[in-house]
This record gives sequence, C-alpha cells and structure tokens, in this order.
Amino acid sequence: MMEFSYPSATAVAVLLDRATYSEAVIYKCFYWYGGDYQVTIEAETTRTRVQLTVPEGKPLPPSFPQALLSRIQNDLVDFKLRELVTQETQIVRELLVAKAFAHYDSEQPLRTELADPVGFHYSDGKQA
Amino acid sequence: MPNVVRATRKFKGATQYVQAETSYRLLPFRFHVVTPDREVIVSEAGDFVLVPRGTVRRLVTRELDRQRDSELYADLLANFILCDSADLPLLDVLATRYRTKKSFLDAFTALHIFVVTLRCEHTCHYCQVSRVTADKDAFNMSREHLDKGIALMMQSPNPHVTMEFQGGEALLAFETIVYGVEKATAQAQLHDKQITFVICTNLAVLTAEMLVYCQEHNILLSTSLDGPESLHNANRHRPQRNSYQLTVEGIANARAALGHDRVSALMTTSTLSLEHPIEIVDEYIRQGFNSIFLRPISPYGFALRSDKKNKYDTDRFLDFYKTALARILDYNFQGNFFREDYATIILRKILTPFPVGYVDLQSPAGLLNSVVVFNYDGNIYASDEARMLAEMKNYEFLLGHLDTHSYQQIFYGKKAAQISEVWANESLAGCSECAFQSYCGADPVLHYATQGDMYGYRPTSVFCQKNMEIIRYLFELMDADPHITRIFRSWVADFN
Ligand code: SF4
Repeated sequence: MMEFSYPSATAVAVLLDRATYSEAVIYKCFYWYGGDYQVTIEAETTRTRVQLTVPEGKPLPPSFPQALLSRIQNDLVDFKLRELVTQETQIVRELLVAKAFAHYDSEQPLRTELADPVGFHYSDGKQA
Repeated sequence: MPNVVRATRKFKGATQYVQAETSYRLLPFRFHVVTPDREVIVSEAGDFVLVPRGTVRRLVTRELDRQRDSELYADLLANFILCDSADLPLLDVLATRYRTKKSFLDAFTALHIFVVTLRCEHTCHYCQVSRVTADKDAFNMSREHLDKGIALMMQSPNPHVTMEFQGGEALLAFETIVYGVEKATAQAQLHDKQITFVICTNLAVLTAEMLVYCQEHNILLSTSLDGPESLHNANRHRPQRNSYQLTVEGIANARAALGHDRVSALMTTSTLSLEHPIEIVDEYIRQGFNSIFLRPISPYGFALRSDKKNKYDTDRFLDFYKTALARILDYNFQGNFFREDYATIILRKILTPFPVGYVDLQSPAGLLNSVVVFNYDGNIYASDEARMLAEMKNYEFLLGHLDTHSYQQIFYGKKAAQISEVWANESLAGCSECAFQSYCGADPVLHYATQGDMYGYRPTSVFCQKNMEIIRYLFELMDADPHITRIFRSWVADFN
C-alpha cells in the first residue's frame, strides 16, 4: 500500500496504491509539504509516486528522513479519514448550507423535537 | 402564543426514549491534531469536542459504541458531530446555528474609514503612510470628498454605521473631523441610522477644546501604546522623544473628560517589542486597561521596505504571543480580570454560537462586507491594508474614486467580484479541509501583499501559520486546565 525509497540524500519517494489513496487525498495531503520540500506527484499504472526533495541550499530538517516518514504516514491516514467523512456527509453539508441561506421568516419557530422538547407549541412535531 | 396545545406538555412513556440499536450517522465535521495525544473535532457550525487521538478513526470506522463510550457518544451527539437517527431531526437546528455564525453578513458594511489627512508629527519607522510637512493643506481630505464619502456611507444597508477618522495624525485635521461629524450626524437622522464616531490618534496634539467637542458628540478615541516608555519612544519617533509621555497624559486627560471606557489603545509589535512581552502586558495593566490586543506588525507599506528593523518571522511572534498570554493568564489566576483581545475574538467563535465583527478573521473576508476606506485624495480602497499597499504604488485593491464611482460600481463592481472569488476560506485550498475554518478567515489583501496572489498559498502563509498555531494553542490550553477555560469564558462574556 505504501513503499518508501530514497532517490538521493535529500529526497524521499513514496509509492502509494491508488485503490487506497485517491488523487484527491494525495494532493490535499502533500499540498502542506510544499513550504518545506519540492513536491512532485506522478501517476504510474496502479500507483502514484510522490517525491519530496529538500530544496537546494536549504539544510536538512531535523531527524531527516525518519521524522518525515512518520509525518507522511500520519498525514495520509488523516487525509484519508477526511475524505471518508467528506464523502459520507457531502449531501448533508450541501443541504445544511442551502437551508441556512434559504429565505425563511426568522420569526417562525423551528419545528423539531429539540426546538420544542416539552411540547409547548406543537403536538407530535406538527404546528398546532 | 397562538393555538397552544397543552395536552402534549406531559412526558411520554419511558419506552419512547429508548434508542433503537442502529448505527450512527456522521454529520459534516473536520478535525485537527492538538497535541500528539489529543485531537479536536469541529462541527460545520463550529461546535467542538476535544478527544483522545484516534477517536476520529474509531468514529469513522464505526468502532464507537453507544453504551461502552456513552460519555463520548453523548458529547459527539450534543455537538452535532454525529446523529443517531436516519432522518436528521437536527438539521434545522444546525442550519440555524450555521446561519447565526454568518449573521455578520446580514447588515453589510458598518465600518467606514475616512483618512482625513496623511500629515503626522511622528516619524515612526514602521509607519506605512504618514507624511511630515509644514503645508497645512497638503494631504488633507477635501470637504467635497468628505461629503461624497458620507453620502456613500448613508447608502449602506447597515442601520448602524461607524465613521472612523484616521491619519497620518487625524487630530491635525480636526476642523475636517468637526465638519464630518456635523454633516454625518444630520445625514444619519435623515436616513434613520445609528452612527458611532471614532478618532484614531496618537494624542500628541490633543487639546482641552478637542476633548470638550468629543465629549459633546460622544466620540470614542482609539490611541496607540506600544509598551513601556523606552519601547514606545523607540518605536514612535518624535524629535523630542516624548511620544510616551504625551500618550500617557493624553489617555489620562481623555479618560477624565470622556469616561474610562471611551478611550482604547492598540499596540503595534515591532522587532524590538518581541523582546519585551511581559513588560508590554505590565504597561497596559499599569495604565488601567483591562485588555490588550497583541497584534503582529503588518507586512505592508514602509514596514515591508524597512526590512532590517521590522522583518521578523512568525515563529518569533508566536513565542512572543505565548509568553505574553502566559503573563496575562497569571494575572487572571491572581483574581484579576485582564483580557487578550485576539484570543477573545477567536474564543468567542469557539465558545459561543455568535460571530464577531472583526474584519481580519471573517469568511467571507471583512473587506467590503464590513469595511471600506475613503482616502484623503478621494480614492476608495477595500480595507485599511489595501490603502497601505496603494501608498507603495500598488493599486490592486482600488475600488474607485469618490468623484466618479457610484455605490453600485464600488460595492458590486468588477473589482469587488474579483475579490469575492477568493474571500471565503470554505473554498480555498488548504482551508477547505481545515478544522479551524469557522474560527479563522480569509485575507486576500495580506496574501496579495506577501505572496503576490490574492488566493494565497497556505503552507507558507504568515496568516495561516499565525492563526493555525494560535487556535491550536488555545485548544491545548483549554484541554489542559479547566481553570483556563473558565477564564476564557469570562473574557468572552465581557466582550462585544
Ligand atoms: S488560513 Fe490556515 S488556519 Fe485559517 S482556515 Fe485556512 S488553513 Fe485553517
């Protein structure tokens, strides 16, 4: 699923299985490495190859490459989780924003159990 | 209350409240690692739960158990992270909370900055805009431009507008201010608007007559205090090296005339300030303020050119900020009330359902939506920072001119449309997945000034670096010590 190699003393390459890590996960994850490394992302047949290179003239970061490897592993899991949440909740998110900005009379009380838990206003969730 | 049905006020039978053993459903949320052991989960409307690292993985992979993890489960449910019913009964509530967070958009532009003069008697090395000249009329706003600016302000849909006079040193054009106050007061009555007046001043040329006028017209004074005498005078050059003395005397006189709370102070952080976080906080306490706004130096105008003196990296500012915040918390631990305003703005977004009218931390961004600047020469800019860029001969955020442009052209014109494409962090790379999105903002002007591109590149953005770390740090502090959370809540309660 994930394979590391070291093309040079200042570079780390990681091979990622595309069935596990989508293009979106890979781009969103490695976007954050662009401040410290030159990032190249190339698609291979079933895998994606990401190479991070310390820019010329910059000192190697502390504990390179071990610290970088563990950062990559953690970040990939986190961005994969983010993708799963996004996929699962996309419709709700869109509905939520649409509802929030749809025209409605703010004087009108909300018709939910939570808005009226003891039943002052409605019976069975319907307006009396 | 029409048609109230009282029969339903009784609780239903106990069986009605037993949850079916169905799997839960995720609601939209984002998360961020706070420490190696802890993460924060933030709902779409900004509600949060601090949890052990790994909880999001357990949540997403359906490893959470309603019974076994009952406390965590209840927290996630109460904070709109998950929902255990398929038909989303809370969607309306969540939508209302989301809408409330964005309610600063309802009224549109409130803050109208009038740069009445560029003249100043200080020569601060970090100042972006001021001019020293003996010619009284050079770099002053004309009456015609003042009239036109006021007319535009009256067209704002916002029923409560603020007219802020800035300089240079605004009090050097006090007659212009008087003219503006009289004119705007009359116009506000005609247009049924509430109006607040603020003068930003270093207080050096403040007179008793000016104070009487401010008192009669309910004008607020906002001044600058950078810290103790040596630091303030080093930052704020005057030939007599007496800026601190004049400021402190001015604050005392203004408080005596206008009332203690009618005078506020802002500090500007310079390279020198970074070495004195404790002394700066202590100076504000000594001067009787109950808050301080720890601001980083702005990367605009002359400040950008004065590299050696003013360029400091954000890491150094963050160290400075944390040391100062620790001193402030210490003072609060001793039973005193003293607030840090930047933290309070963020905490209000974290701890309450309400937005904060602070232009630098909004999405959509504050420029145009909350603030517009009428420059002394009639040019109109999208924010104060935008006019500072213009002083460097960069007119990227010039919206028009008071002589030639209508309200429609300024606020809904091409430039406004261009800016609006990058002013919502919800749709910016990096921000779109960030858990701090609803506490943070977008700053197209700062990104343009520092990165040459309004869109901004978050991995090297000083705006992102600063906000991400400060917000993370505030969560870390709250997670570590409930006493700190109580102090933070007291800051938020007192803030409006
Ligand atoms: S600027 Fe940075 S901290 Fe703020 S929302 Fe964007 S990514 Fe998050």
